[in-house]
Parts: sequence; C-alpha cells; structure tokens
Amino acid sequence: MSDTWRILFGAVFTVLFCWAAGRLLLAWIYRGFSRVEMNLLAIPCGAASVSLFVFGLCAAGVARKGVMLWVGVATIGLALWKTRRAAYVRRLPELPKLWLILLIVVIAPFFFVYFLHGLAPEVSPDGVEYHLGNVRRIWLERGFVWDYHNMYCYLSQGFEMLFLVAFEFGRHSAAALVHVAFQLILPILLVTFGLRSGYPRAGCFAAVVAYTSPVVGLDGSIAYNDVGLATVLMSVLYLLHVWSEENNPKLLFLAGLLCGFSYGIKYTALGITAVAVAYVGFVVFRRRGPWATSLALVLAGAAVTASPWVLRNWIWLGNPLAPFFNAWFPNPYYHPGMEQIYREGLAHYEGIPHLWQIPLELTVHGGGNVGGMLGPVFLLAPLALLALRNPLGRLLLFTALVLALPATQNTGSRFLIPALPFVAMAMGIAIGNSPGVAPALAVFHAVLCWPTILPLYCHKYAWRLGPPNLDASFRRIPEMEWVGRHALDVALAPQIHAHVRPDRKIYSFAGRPEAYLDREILVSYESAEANLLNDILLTPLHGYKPTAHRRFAFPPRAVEAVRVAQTAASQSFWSVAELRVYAGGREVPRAPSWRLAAHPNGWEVQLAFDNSPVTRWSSWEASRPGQSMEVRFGRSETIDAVVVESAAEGYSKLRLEGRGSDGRWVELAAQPQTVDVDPPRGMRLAATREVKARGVSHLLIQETDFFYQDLLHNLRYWGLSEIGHANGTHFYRID
Amino acid sequence: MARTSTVSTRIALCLLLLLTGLNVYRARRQSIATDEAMTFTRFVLPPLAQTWQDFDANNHVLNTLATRVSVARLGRSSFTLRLPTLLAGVLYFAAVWRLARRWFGGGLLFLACVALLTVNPLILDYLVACRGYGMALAGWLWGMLLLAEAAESGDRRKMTAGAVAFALAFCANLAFVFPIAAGVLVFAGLETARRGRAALWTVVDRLFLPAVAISFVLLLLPLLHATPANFYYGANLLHGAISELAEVSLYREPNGQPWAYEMLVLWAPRLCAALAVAALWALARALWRKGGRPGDVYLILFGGSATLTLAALVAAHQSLGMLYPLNRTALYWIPTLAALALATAKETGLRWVRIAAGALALAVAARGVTQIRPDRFLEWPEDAQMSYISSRILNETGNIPVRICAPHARAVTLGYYRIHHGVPKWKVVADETNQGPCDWRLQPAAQPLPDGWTVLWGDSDLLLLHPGQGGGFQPPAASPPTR
Repeated sequence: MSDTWRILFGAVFTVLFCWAAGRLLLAWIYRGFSRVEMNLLAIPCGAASVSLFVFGLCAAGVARKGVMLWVGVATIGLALWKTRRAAYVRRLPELPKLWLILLIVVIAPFFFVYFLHGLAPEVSPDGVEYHLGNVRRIWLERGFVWDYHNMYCYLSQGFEMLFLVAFEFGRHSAAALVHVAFQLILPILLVTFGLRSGYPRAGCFAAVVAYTSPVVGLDGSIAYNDVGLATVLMSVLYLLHVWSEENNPKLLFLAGLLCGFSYGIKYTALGITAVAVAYVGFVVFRRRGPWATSLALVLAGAAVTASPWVLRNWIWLGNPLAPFFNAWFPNPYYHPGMEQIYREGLAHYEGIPHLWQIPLELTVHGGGNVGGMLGPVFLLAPLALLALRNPLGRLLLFTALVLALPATQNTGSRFLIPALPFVAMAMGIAIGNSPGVAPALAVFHAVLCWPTILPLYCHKYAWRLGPPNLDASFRRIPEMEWVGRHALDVALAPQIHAHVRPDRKIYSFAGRPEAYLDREILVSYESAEANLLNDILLTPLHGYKPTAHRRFAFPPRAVEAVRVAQTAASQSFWSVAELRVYAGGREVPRAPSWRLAAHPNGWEVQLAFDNSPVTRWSSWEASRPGQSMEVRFGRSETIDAVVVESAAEGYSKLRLEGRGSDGRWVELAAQPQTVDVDPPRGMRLAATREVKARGVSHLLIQETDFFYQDLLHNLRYWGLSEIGHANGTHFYRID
Repeated sequence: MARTSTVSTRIALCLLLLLTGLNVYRARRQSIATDEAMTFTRFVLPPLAQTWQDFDANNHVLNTLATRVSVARLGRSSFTLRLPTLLAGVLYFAAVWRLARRWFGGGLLFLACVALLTVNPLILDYLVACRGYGMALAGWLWGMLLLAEAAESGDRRKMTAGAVAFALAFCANLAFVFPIAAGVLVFAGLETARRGRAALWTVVDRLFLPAVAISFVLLLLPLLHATPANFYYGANLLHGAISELAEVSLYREPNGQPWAYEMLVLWAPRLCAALAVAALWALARALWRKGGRPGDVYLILFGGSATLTLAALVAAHQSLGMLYPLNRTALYWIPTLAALALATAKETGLRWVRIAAGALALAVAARGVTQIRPDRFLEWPEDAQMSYISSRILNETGNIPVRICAPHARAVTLGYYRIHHGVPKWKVVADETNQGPCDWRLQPAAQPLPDGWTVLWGDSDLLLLHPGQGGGFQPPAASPPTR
C-alpha cells in the first residue's frame, strides 16, 4: 500500500503544483473568472509554468527531487495564502438538472476505470519506450542528456516535464495519473465552456462523448500526452472566447502561453497558434481594434513557452524542428531519408481495403493500424457541420479542422484527440435544439464505450482499455511481474543488467521498454548512429554486399581533387562502400593530407575510406543529380583510375570529375565500367566486430525481425552467443 | 374534416375491425413461414450480442427487437412472435383511417381510400408475418400523416413525432429509406416555401436530427457487418416490378382466367404511367395554389415524395446498379399509388369522376378480398402446413433422433418447429437433391417421387415422405403455373 500512497502523492503533488502556479498566474493576469473556472483553468495555465520551470532545471542539470519538492511546496503555500480571500466577480449559470445527473452517472464510473488503469504499472508501448524512457533518463542524469541521441528525445517534452515531477516521487504510475487528472479536467472544461458560451447542453454532450471515447480513455490513463494536450488546447479556446467577451488583452498573452505550451507538448499542436492568430486577427479587425498589439501579445506568450524547445534543438542538434525537417536543417543526428521512411510508415493505412472504411475503423472498429477508436457517435461527426450556422460553431469547426490536419500524417486515431473536444462541442451545438437527441446519443455512446461492451463490436486487436485489475493497481501483484506480462522484453531485464556494462550499448531493430531498462539501447530507426549499425548488420546479407566495382579509367592526369558525382534521380539511397584511387595499376595510399567530403551526409564520408566492407557511406536520402563524394589530396596527384565499390545499385549513374591545379573541375570519365566481384569472406563476423568497435556489446533480436532468419542458420558465423530469450526476443552477446 | 358518423365511416370502421380480427386469427393459426423462422432462429433466439456479429437482410432490426421483447415476456408461440407486427397493423389501420378522413373527409372516396389501403393481400400478409415490413409501413404512413398535420398546423411536436415514426419505419425495414428521405425533403421544401428559410432549420432540428439519431442508435450495431451484397432482393426492370406488384395484389389466385393475368401484366405499368401523369398534374395544381386548399398538403407530400422516390430509385438503379423494390420491398407504393389515384380524381372536381374512381377502387378492393388466403402467406405457400407436418412427425416419432431432409427453405422452417416442439434430437438437413439418407423427407409436390418412399401427406405444394412402399396418401395435382 505504501507504493500506492507514493504514487498518489507524486501525482497529486504535481497537479497541486500546477494548480498553485496557475492560480498565482491568473491572479496576476485576470480575475474575471468564476470560482470553478479559476480553479479549473489554473491547472493548464500553471502546467505551462511548471513545465517551463522544470525545463530550466533540466537544461541546467539540476532537476533534483529536493528542488522540485521545495519549490512546489512554496508555490502551493503561496497560492493557498493568496487565494484564501479571493472574491469571484462572476457566476456561471446553473447546469440543467438532467445533464447534471447524466454527467455524474457517466463520468464517475469512467473516471474510476481510468484512475485504476493509471494507478496500475505503466505498460503502454510508447509510454515505456520513450515518454517515460526519456523521463527516466532525465531523472537518472538530473537533466537533459546531451550526448544521447534518439529521435524521440528531440521531440518537445512539455508534458514529460510534468511527468518528471511526478516520477521523482511516484515513478511511472504517478506520471500516468497526472495524465488522468488532465483527462478529468477536459470534460469539466467543456461543461463550463458550454455554460459560459450559452450552450450548456452542447458542453455537457461534448463532455460525455469526449470523456468516454475509448481512445481518450486509454490514452488519458497511460503516460502519453494527447489528452493532456487536448485539455490545454481547449483552455486556449476558452481563454480566447473569454477575451472576445471581455476584451482584456492580458488574456491574449495567457492564451499565447498555452499555445506555446501546446507546441511544447506535441509539435502537432502548432496549429492552435495559427487558430489563435487568425481568430484574434478576425475579431480585432471587425472591432477595428489594435490588431498588431493583440497579435503580438499572442505570439509573445507563445514564444515564452515554445521557444525553449526550439532553441534547445537548434543549439543542440542544429535543427530547431528535430526530428523532422532534417532536409531543411541537415544534421549528423538524424537522416532525412530515415525521417521520410518513418513518416511514410506512419501515414499509410494498413489492412483497410477501401477509403470509406477509414471512418468506420477510426470510430468503431479500431482495426488496421488506426490504433484504437474514437467511439461510435463520432460516425455522426458530419452533423457538426450544422453548427456552421452559429459563430461559435464556426470557430470550433475551424479549430477542429486545423488540429485534425496532422492526422493526415499519422494513421493513429489518437492523433485526432486534439480535435475531438471541438468536434464534440460543435456536434453538441448542432443537435442542441433537437429534443432529446443530445442526451440519447450521449448515453448511447457512453454505454457502447464501456470497456466490457467494446469487445462486442470492435476489432479483436483494437487498442483499448479492458476492465481494470485491482491487484495490479494496488500492487498486490508485484509491479515488475505485471510489467513483464505486458511489456514482454522486461522479462530480459535482469539478464540485460547483469551482462551489459553500464558504459556499453545494446542494439535492437525495434523499440524496447526503456523506462524499465537501465542500459542505452540503440534502435535501428531512432538515430543516425543506429541507422549506421543497422546498415552494418544488414550489409553481409544478400543485396547489401559490395559486389559491384565501378571503375573509372582515364589517361594519367595530375589532379588535386577528384569527385564522383551522381547524375541519376531515384527514390533509393546512393551508397559507397569504398572509394579507391589508382595510379599505374596500384592504389594510391590514403594519406593524412587527404580531405574528404560528401554531399549530402558529409558527416559519414569516412565510411567510404575505412577499408571495411561492412560499412558504407550513404546519401540517406533519395538519389538525385548533384550528390557527390570528393577527395582533396592536399597536393597534386597523378592518377589514372578511381574505383567505387558498392552494392549493385542499378539505379545509380555516376560521373567522375577532377580538379587540376588551375582550380577548375573537368570531367575525367563520363561513366564507369562495372565489374561484379565476389563479396569478401567473413562479412558477418566483420559486421559484428565493427558494431562492437562502436560500443555495442549486445543485440536484442526479435523472431519477427528480418535479420533473425539469417541468424537462425548462421549464428556461429556472426560471432554471437545467445544469453537468453523471452517471449520471442533473443538476447545475444557479441563475442 | 367531418367528425360525424356516417354510413361510410361505419362501414370503414367495420372493415378495419374485421381485418384486425382476421389478422389476429391468422397470427394464431397460420404456420410459421421460412423468413419468420429465420428471423427467430438467427436473430431472436441467440443472445443479442451474437446477432451483431453478422448481418442479413432478414434482420429487420426494430421487428427483431420487438419480437425479442414479446417472446421474452409472453413466451414462445407463433402469436407472440407476430404480436409486434399485429400491433403495427392496428397502428397502420389507425393511420389509414386518419389519413382518409383528413384527406378525403367522408363519403365514397373516404371509404374507397380505407378499402384500397387495407384490403390488399400483400399488405395484409405483412401485417401478420413476423417481419419488419408491416411495421415499416405503419411507421412511414404515420410519419407522412404527422408531417402533413405539422405542415397544416405548424405544430413542432408533430414534426418530432413524425421524425420518430420515420426513424422507427426505417429501423423496421431499410427499404423504406427512399420514401422516408423523399418525404422529409418534400416536407422541408413545403415548409421553406410556406414559412421562409428559418423553417428549414426547424425541420433540421425537429425532424431530420431526431430521425437520424434514433436510426443511428437502433441500427448502428446490427449494421456494422452489412455489405452491399446483403441487399440482394429486387427487380431489374421497373415495369417488371410494377407488374409484379399488381399481380400479387390482384391475381394471387388465378381462378382459371389467364387472359386476365395477361391483361394485368401488360397494362399495369401503362396504367401506372398514366396515373403518374395525372398525379403530377394534380400535384402541380396543388403547388400552384401553394397548398392553400384542404387536402393540398397531403397531395403535395404524397405526390412529391412519390415523384422523388421514383427518381431516386431510377438514379440508384442507373448509377449504382441497385435493384428496384419488388413486392414486399415495394409495399409503400400500394398506399401511395392508391391514395394518389383517389386524390387525382378528387382534384378534377367532377362528381362523376369521383364516383367512378370510388366505385373502381371498391371493385379493386373487392378483388383483393377474393385474393386473401387466411391459411398461408403469398410468398411462402409451401409453408402453409408446416405446423401440421411438424406435429405429425412429432406424433409419429416422438422425441427420438430422426433425420429429416427438406429443401433449404423448408428446413429453415422445420428448424423453428424443432425448437418450438422442444425436440433437439431432430436433425433437420437442407437437401435439394433427394439423395441423402433420411428418416423423413419433405419435397415439392411438382418433383417426381424417389424410389422406396411413400407419401404420407401432401397438398398442392408439398409432400411428406417416409421410407416404405405402396398405398399411403394420394397427393393432389400440383397447382397450375400462374405465370
């Protein structure tokens, strides 16, 4: 039971810390809210401040429990003292009785389920892999780990900053419970928003259907951030609406703060800033007010909370938008080609033969790769268009549209969560004048979304909540036992910790539950370094071996530099295993005076000059004319041939150029003569040796990995020893 | 509307009471038919959740739900199975009465309207059978009626009540989606024309949204597994569908007059076309008057929705290859066409035309009376004696394991009686070939008798066979082909 209290303390302390910071902020900025609104909006507003504060601690490397505890206690104390005699100038209208009863009857049992799930050990895939994996790493190092590279570390982690506070005291489940708290705030915000805006039924309807939505229920009760984001986004619209009523410019700054915080939680919420700017601009324009000042206030607020993440990535990685837009901001940490593959993988619907089935999968079945469902009533989302007859409806639908745009880039239904409250509210407005329709649909939705009802109609593998397990929630089952049942690789944790030195790394083709593992795991697609390891391990396999020698032969010529240029365009990457220069039939030895360059991916050009058949330089983006690899000799060299060794890349067309002492580039050979050669022997062993030389001592391989099939038959040629296996995952040591 | 009791109203009332009595009698006495048996065994008997795992056009959702309630509350019998439909039949008769009174007042046209809309063998069959068609018909007619009254009075509650009726009709049978949608559109147009644009939002709020919400709640789960292939029943040709409708209404029993059948098949589509032109003329006049005269609203609603329905059906057929409604799925056309024909006669303003139309309508209704067979359904005559057959097998064998072979449709019906009699040891096998090993065999009367089998019982449609030689029952001659 002490575990439970520890978890509850972590979560409650974090939420109180946010509330207190928010109360102080609101007391300073705007006092025109009702009591409910003040206490409710204080949490998202305070969360932005707390997140910023924790970011500062992490950047400074002083993210310690004591700091957070005492600052938190001081903030809570100050807020309580300041608000003890607060007067509220506004009262919200009364809630319709029927809806009040309905809200209590529906929200209470769902909250109970979500709470128990949040209290249970965290086993969600992304939660244990990176949301809390990052938090745990920061927690261990007392701040950001600048020499650790993983694309998920580059994402903004505004909500993870709150998780970190909770994690300090209650570990994983405390973080999840913080999300549960934000999940609960969402329906209450919708109800109060409905009351304030004159659409109480619409607000209640939206509260019920949004809160009971299966994907909201699941996502909000684990250590993800989508529902927390939705709550913050709703707060932005709330503040903008209050501003449009009260015309207090300070509210614009506050809304801007939350816009920036939304970006800090998840990049996909950038659209809310656009919505805020467009809405404020529109309202101010119609009122003929000071639009420049108004917009500046919004943007200034957004800059305060968003810019830390932008600046961190810019300074740290050279890409302010990392891990995306690497083609715009090339950097050695993440390849543009890998980013493209990653994005295409996420944007592609699988197992859904017809486009018209997508809405059905997203709302009802949750099959294919949509990952959970929004709930049946959202099949009626087109009815929300009827809210266009109303100014608030237009604002809600515009916001929903903008926030739903990222869902075109990711098939996961949770990417629609940010838009969900707005759609629900618009639906509520659309059906609000029809007698009995809103409560009937709300009840219908709630009944169908109850965890034990879901299996009656959804896909059997749909991502959803099951009934809570009290033994797990209250730790009557040991935490690691429960985690091991769900995050299957955790079963290997004891062996990993026993065999892998803390300064060594593990390579894996797929993501692992890093929130429960104390060793650094390089996952094939998560960093440039892991991409390289992936390349090395796959090179010995058929299709990747450097069996094509492209020889550019030309009359002897004195040059200061040579350049191999790509002249063809293809979606495939261009790679070079080795580039060798010859004179009189003998290879010109590589000298310290040589200077190497490649465009793109110049950071890895040495891989083409390391005499290792298992490493290769790759463009790591689609081949196109203009890509090149260059050797500057540092003096004039008379040469007569250049050989490019690579895999048989039929799509590649190369040209050789040379630079003489006059500094001009001239073509030395228009095209090479290609000779197919046998691959070197012992490549598998060479690959694992190369991997080991790069600090990786162990491999985690799943039986479903492409690599595993070869491993199964040629284990001894790889120089690997199996240490253990569990649930289809094999743990190997590189000998 | 005249409220006094007249001869015509008294006759109409007697007629409706008589028909209600007939429906009750049939519901109690008539054998369960194949489609009813399938409804029962596949959608009423299993747990509710199981019925959501697949879909078949046989699942008329509202009927299924109502039957589940009826069977659960009152026990399992052919009557309780059909009770929801019977109640829908009463509602339908009430709607017909109200419609006829409000549209035609009293007198001959009123009586003709009541008779034409009720004394039809196809309609009467589906006001008894445990299927959703009768329920849908009642719901649709009440919907139209309530919308007409809402249009006349501006009463929003009637609009919402109409929405409920339409939604229930749609949930009872999906084939009614076309006339319902058309009715809503025509009503919306009428309201907008008479009360201005703001009235359109009232229609949306009070009619469209409640109807959508109710349908959504009732149909979502059952329809989750539906595919276009589930909707297979219909006709390829429009005139074929019309001829078929005329035939089942007027020529169910051939009575040895093949020329009459030929005439009917040939002229029914043409008569319908002529009627459509006349109805369009009447509709145009009503629209010209902006629905100012009593009865105009009904004419506009029914005429307009019939026109839109037809257009939608043709468009769906041409663009999506959807089949035209046939017989039971075209049930709504019978009251629509009948009422429109009488309204057109009324619209002429000529007394002799009204009298002629009324007389003709009564003659058609009289013809309908002669077509009614209280022992069987038009579409499943072979099932007429299934209750007797199953009891006979039960009496002869008791509850011992027996293997009964029957054509697929009859096997489904026997499946119901197997449950009804509580004889789980019966093994009912669908066998069209007459080849499989069986203890009992049912076969169509027209098929030759297999060797080594004796006819124990038979009628013009079906034979009950048992292994053995000689004697036995001499089956009557099979019915002459009717088409």
